[in-house]
Amino acid sequence: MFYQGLEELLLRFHGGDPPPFERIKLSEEQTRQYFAMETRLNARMNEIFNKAAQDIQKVQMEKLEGLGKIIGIQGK
Amino acid sequence: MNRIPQRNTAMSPGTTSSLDVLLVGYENQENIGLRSIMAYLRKHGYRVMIAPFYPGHDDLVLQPAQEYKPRLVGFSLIFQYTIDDFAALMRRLRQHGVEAHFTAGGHFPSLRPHETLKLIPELDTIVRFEGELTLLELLERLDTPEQWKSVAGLAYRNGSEVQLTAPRPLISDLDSLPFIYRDESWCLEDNGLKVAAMLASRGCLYDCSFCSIRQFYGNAPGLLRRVRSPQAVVNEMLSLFTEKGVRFFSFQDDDFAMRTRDQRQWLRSFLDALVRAGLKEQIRWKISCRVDDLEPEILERMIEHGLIAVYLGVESGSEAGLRTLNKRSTVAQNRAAIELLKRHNLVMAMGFMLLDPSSSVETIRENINFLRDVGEDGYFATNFCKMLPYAGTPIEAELRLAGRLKGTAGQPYYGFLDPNLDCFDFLVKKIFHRRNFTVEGNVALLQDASFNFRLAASPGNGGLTEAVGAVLRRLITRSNRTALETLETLLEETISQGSEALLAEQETVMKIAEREWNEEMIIEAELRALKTAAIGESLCLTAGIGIT
Repeated sequence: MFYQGLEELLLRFHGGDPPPFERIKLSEEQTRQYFAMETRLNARMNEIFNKAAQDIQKVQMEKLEGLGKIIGIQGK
Repeated sequence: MNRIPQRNTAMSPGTTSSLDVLLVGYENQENIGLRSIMAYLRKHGYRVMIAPFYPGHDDLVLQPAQEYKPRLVGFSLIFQYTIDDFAALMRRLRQHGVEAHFTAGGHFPSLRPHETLKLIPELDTIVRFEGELTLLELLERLDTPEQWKSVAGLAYRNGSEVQLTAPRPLISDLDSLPFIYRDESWCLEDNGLKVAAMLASRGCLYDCSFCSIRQFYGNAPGLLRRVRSPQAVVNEMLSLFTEKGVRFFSFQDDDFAMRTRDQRQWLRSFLDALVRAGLKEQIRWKISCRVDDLEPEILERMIEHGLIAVYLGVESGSEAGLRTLNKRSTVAQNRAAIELLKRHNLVMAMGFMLLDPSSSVETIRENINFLRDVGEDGYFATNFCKMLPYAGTPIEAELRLAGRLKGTAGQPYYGFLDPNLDCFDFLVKKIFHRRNFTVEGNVALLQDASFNFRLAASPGNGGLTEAVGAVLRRLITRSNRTALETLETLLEETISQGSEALLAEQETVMKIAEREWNEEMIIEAELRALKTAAIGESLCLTAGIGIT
């Protein structure tokens, strides 16, 4: 069972979907719909996570202030 | 844990301008198979080097192949879905004048030699099943093809035909093999914690329908599962502890079995040997096992001896799914095993296939409910995937027979009986790829943090406050809850609207995806803040050791 998990992990290196994009018994219209959906999802995902990279520092600093009060700064 | 090394090739000492063998394979963890072969060939006087291979980083292989001109290059094709990448690499090596004998081993080439040789014309031979003895004999006779063609355990082209030589029996005494080869490139060191991969056994006695391990070992003469002696395993650990400073051992056994009387006797002897070696209080270790391997008394003894993490082969939260996968376990056993690990505060991760060839709306709902039950407390980050149809497995044969196996040898796939589920599968992949399968995704980040929190909290370490743990668990709960709500909404919308309508109008999916991604982003930011606030740079919570 471990083998499946490992392969999934290694598929990270491919940078794409784990298994291939599956279009089974699709009409031309259905294929077009899948592509349209995929394109829109990809664009929005990039938008959100690229923005996230910019925002993350801000969110982090805000949270950091709050969390610091809750848990205190811990040493070893 | 992912790392793409720059030039961390492992090389036999004394290797200078020429080389007998260049071994090529993935090494995001130590590639135990390749390193065992390397140790065995070195023991017999051959000069051997390992070059790590990752798609897009061909130069890690091309450069040493050109510089050291090996007589033989051996490719470790253990992951079926990477065959096309290896084929492209071999083409590139040939194009750049690498004339060495090319051979390949691993699950897919062993089980599908005809297909592999057809798919990769650059290959000269295939080493089937265990590689140590076959590769040694191949090397000894490499200069005279008429001689190496009689080596047992090989496949090669004979004109337009593929010739299989006599089967090579599995190695009956694993203690006869040298310890795997390790050098300065092998050791994962994260914020001071040195980690080594270990192997105490080869093979598995079970016959899960999706797994190729049984097919790999079961198709060669010999026992399905063989174990090293407990003392040999501990001797290797002690050597790594004293000579390399290793403190964490990650057992990569197919199944760290503990069910039968013999297996439990082995385990007791192993634990006793750890005590005799003085390692009991000094090390931490991780295993992978079945849910029915776990039993409270034996688990407690293992924890006393340093066990800190368990990867569980849960695979499904549906009885129908478990039957399809032939797991020979029940949902109740799955729940009990997870609860047991939680009670003992062990780090855990699990293999879980949300989708398999028999999936229906009902089984997917059962899986979602199962994940909700076990993940709601934030103990571990739940992840999920679709079962991959590996070559040679019973489930692959069933899919082929039913005409449902599609794709290519390197990229096989299947669809579902309910066409709406093809759409659901597509959307799950698009929405959850980052969360479940990337190093920056919530699952990897939360698993790493959870692991390091428990490691820091274990006896002998400085420890972190309960408040840190509580914040971390809340983050994990949120990530799990959000993911499951997303899954559930997607499923219900797919059913109620139908896949065509859902794809045509797009807006519903976009809203679901945006909500998931926005929450993932916030969790990621808060986790980074938690690490910074609680840990600073000095503790290993940020290490990203990863236990999956």
